[in-house]
Amino acid sequence: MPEVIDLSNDGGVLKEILKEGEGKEQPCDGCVVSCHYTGTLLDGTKFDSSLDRNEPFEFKLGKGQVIRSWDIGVASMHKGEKCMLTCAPEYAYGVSGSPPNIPPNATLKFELELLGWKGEDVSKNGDNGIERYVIVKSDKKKTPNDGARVKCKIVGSYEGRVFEERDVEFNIGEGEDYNIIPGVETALEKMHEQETSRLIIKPKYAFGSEGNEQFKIPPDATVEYLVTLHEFEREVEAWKLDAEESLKQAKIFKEKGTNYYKSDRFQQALKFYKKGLSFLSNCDTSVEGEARTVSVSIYLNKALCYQKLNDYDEMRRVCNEALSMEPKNIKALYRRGQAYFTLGEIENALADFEAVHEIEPENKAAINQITICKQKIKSYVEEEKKRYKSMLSRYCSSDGSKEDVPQLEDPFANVSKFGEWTEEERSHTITKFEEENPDVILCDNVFFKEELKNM
Amino acid sequence: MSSAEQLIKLLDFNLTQHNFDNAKKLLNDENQFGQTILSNYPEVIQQVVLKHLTANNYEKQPELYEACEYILSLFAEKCHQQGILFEFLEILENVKDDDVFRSILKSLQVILLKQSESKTRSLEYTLNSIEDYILELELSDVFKKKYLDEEEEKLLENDEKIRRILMNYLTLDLFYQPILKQIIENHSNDKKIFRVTKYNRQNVLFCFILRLLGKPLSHLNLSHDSESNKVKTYSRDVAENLVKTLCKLYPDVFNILQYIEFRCRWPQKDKIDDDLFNIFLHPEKVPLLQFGILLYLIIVENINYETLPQTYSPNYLFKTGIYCINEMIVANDTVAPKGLKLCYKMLSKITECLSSDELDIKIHEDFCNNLIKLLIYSPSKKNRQSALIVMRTYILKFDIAGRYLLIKNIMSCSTHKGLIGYLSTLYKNIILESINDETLPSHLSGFNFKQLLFNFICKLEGGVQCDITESSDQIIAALNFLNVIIQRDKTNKTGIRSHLSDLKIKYLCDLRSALDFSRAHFTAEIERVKINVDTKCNKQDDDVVSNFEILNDNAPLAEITKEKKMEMLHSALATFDLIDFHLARVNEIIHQISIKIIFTESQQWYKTSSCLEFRSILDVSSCTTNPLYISRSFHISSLTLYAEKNIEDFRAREEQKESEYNQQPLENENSEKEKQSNEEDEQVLEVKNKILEAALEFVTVNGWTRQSIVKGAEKSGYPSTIHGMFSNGGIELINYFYLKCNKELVEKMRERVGDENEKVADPKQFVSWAIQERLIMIRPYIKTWPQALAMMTLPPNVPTSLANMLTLVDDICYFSGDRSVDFNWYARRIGLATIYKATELYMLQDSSINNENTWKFLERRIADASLVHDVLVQSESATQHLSQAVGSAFITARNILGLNFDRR
Repeated sequence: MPEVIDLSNDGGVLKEILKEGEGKEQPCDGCVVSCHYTGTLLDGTKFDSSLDRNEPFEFKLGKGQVIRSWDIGVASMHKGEKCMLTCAPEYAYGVSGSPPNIPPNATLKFELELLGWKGEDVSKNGDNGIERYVIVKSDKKKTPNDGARVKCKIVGSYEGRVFEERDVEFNIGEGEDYNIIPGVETALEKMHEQETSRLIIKPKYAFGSEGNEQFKIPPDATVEYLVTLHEFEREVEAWKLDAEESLKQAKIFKEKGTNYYKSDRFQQALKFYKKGLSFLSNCDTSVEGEARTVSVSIYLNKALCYQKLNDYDEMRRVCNEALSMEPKNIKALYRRGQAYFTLGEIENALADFEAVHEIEPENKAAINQITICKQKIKSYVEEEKKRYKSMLSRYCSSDGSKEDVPQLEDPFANVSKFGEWTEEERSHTITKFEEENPDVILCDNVFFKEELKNM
Repeated sequence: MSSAEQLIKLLDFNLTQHNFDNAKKLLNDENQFGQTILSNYPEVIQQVVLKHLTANNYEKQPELYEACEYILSLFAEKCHQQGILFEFLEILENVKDDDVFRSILKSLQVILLKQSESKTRSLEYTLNSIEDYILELELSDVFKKKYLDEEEEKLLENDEKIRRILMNYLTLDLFYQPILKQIIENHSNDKKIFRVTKYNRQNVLFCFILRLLGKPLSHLNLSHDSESNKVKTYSRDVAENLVKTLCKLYPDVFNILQYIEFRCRWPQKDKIDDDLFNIFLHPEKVPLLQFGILLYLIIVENINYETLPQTYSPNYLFKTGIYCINEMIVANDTVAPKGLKLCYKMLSKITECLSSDELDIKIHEDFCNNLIKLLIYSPSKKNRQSALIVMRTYILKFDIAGRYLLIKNIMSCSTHKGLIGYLSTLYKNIILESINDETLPSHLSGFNFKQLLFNFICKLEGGVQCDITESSDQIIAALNFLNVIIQRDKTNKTGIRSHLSDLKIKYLCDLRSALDFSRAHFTAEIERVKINVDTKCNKQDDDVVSNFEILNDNAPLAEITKEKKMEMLHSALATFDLIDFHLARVNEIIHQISIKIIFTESQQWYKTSSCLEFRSILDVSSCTTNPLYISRSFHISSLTLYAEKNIEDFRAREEQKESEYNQQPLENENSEKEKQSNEEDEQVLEVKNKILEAALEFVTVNGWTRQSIVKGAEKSGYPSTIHGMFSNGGIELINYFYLKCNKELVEKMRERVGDENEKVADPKQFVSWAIQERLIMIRPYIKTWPQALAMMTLPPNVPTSLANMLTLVDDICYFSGDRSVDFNWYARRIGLATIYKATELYMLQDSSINNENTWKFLERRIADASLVHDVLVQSESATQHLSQAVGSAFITARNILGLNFDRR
């Protein structure tokens, strides 16, 4: 009586080995496995068999291609093994069954024979040039687009000897510039985030007929690589971007922007900051949290960029954006103060710097700025004073000299009797200003008229 | 003249003279002529055979034709293979006639059977040339003209052109079967573990037959009803044959799906290498469309389904099949339905939810876009409908996150208002599914909910100036969404109650103005059309009213007649009414909620503070609510009510009120009445009524307040302090007024009906008259009526107000001749209450002379109601939309009445 193994730990998938297989190796996820099987219902009715088709059944393991009991069952088998799988409905076709062959809620029995397996062929034209064996599986579905930036770790070996091991970041399609062999690049396009895979790469996609002197790879050598894809860049308009992922992407772009900033490429940096912000539109920045922090810091970095580009209007604008989320952000206040200062709005600048000082009393920079502002204002006021003084003194002096002159300049000098119409007033013609403002009547005075004509 | 030329002439002569025996002899003469002729086969074929191998001869001189065929097969048998093959292919290129085509096929078959496995290329060339011929076959013109239903499609087989197509498919079957047999026999002994996917004869032949499933066959109806005993159509026969043959060549056709997925996700960047190692990765050799047809035939039409592996997971089949489906739904209008059917069938087989992770893959985006295009722009109504069903099924097959993402993304890439409205409703239903759970998933609440709500569902494209007629579907769906979610989500799981004031500012107020604009515009338009009708009569002018683009820019203006135009304008107005009504409902609910908030807040305030200051309560009101359109005086007046009460009075009743609160405001109204009548002496009641009657005079000035009662008391000669009798203040005045009007109405109705047992001639008209009469009674107080309405909705006042309302409705029903006691009893009353309440609300904002607009509104409502009733009676399977409308009407009615109607 063969032993019954419970593969799913809940009795849903039971295996009885009918014939032991050879070797210890088992197929891994992503492998193409080939097997013969005969499926029967519990009453013995055969519903399906690969033998009837005279062709083994082939599928990729662990990818959800087949009913769940098969992914579990086949992964536990060895080459040549023959077994009987008993699958509960929840691991097969469930309550609804699969008409017409499989009735609802049916337990299925499969007599299975594993004939063999091979690595998944990921080469573009299907010549088995790049074989992939997944070591660490990822449940993500997205793969890097052409041109996307990828961060990955690669370990290359030849006949058991490791010849290169490095972390690398590059854009898909530009692998050549980073000495990435085509095989690895092609495989990366099919990998998911956080996946690790072993790649067997034929010379055609590796070092070719020339080999590689540096790595001591002979001509026409098949090499092996272990590749882990850490992360990669996504498009903004991607359909499935949840808040978490968007945040991650925003950070990537922020970092990128900052790198450009450091190398004094401000326009470039702004471009990446903008992209980062557009990712953040998927996140809720109205409440406190990481999304808001990142968003604020991007705005602040943008402010720096604009400062370097001497665009102070924009600088003030982005500071305002940051402050709209965090009204007490010191950096934002400080930078807005700087922007105001350069724009000549010293009072506003002073207000901002004082706000900083209030929040952080020991902030030296703010104190300095306040002093500078105050000085500036003071000198400005003084200058103003001086100017007015000189004006006044000049006026006074001229006043003094013309004291005896009748007050011709006085607009009301001519209106001798208030409330009475003089002949002059009665005959006065209506000016345009009066037409437009019917409740105003101008006295016929040269001074006023001249003044109002241009209104 | 060389010997060869002589011989050719001789052969030609024999043939022309019908000396076939001589001709045969000539060819079979091993020693002399035969060899010469065989080695000069190109000339023989060109100069002799083709001359006689014509369609004309096939009919008139069959013997001659046969002889020619014989010569060709002889050549195929004996000549140099490669050479004669190319010769035949060349002939094939120019063949226009089916009979000749068949003859050539016969000979080609002979050659191909003789060729070995290594000659894959020549097989492929041959098959390509044959395919070209098939592709040239003309389809019937019928397809270009209109869209046929299934039965009509089947009848098409009698069309001559289609018969010709089918004949050719049968010929092809005869041609490839022997080759297929030979290939399979050759491979039967291979014991390979893995399937060979490279270029070989087997795979090449498979691809060829697969491609035969495309045009023109894909255009035909290939369905067959296995239940009925009808004979299979020829096209179905052909299709079945093809599928069976394909399954012989590649027993597990589903296996190919992995290659299709692979090549679609990672397409070849450069020119496709013809020397692909895997033939199935070649987009032209295994086209998506044709493979989709194959899947359709297997999965939907159940051809050979049972012989395929049953071990594939249905999810996987859909996830990979979607590439083919996508291709099918963008194809023409006869292939698209097949794609939709396939999609639906595959979706319905899915047992587990699809994960939202799938949406990472671009195909879903493309698929949705194409589906949207189909469901909006397809000229065939059937296609549009089934596309909508497919979309719904598709969305619902995903997990909650997936559904949310799909709804959001589809909304963002479609501008079709109806679709957005439909999706709003779908989202609403998804929320309602889990509204009773402890907490809602993050995709149905919080930020995600807010985003969808403000960015898509409640969005007025173009703001205040938007065209309401165009987006009416979206607006109604949005209002319905708000209505249902606000009411059902009592504990604010979705967070909707935190957005109410935002909603008002960003959406409802704009909608209000937009609605007013549109209504004004359309009313003006109606006037204009009317005037133009007159001028037309006078001047016999054929001028068409311009400025009509607002309804439909695509419709040719000149074709719209005046009547049609009026009809459209009026229907637009009816739509406005509908929106108006929904809007009023939503506003009212939001309002009630804010009153409740104020009420509880002010109550707390009473408790904590001993001094009562009117202003501070007003502050509470201003920070929690925004003024609404119905009446700005709502809160303020209801608040004055509370503010005016003195604090002792309040404290005395505090406990009683609280217990009322906890007990649910809906108490049995009968016991309420009893309580009242027991408590109050008849005499007191009389005095009360007297005072209240007098107080009505002052309502227009002082509102429904204690103030009016005081004035009333003074006027009727009682001391003003007597208002203490009216412990509930203004609401008693309202109740009195309501009951008084009800009584008056009963009198009026009795007068009109005369004998009670007589039936009214036209119940519809009678109901309309009754409501109108009743509303006219309110008219003197119309300015302060909003205040009364608001007070009636306050929780402590609900039971009495409700009783009054129901009495009114019941009376009207009774006098209109409804004495039935069936289910309709409820339905009718609730329907009537809805109409009454809606009209009442409408009247509040109606500024027309004599409230004419209100009466029109009322008439339309009654017309609608009888329409709805008719539909309900006539068919249970009313379209989804209508049943939804009816459903919402009932819910609304129930809400208006504030009860589940089984309570009564």
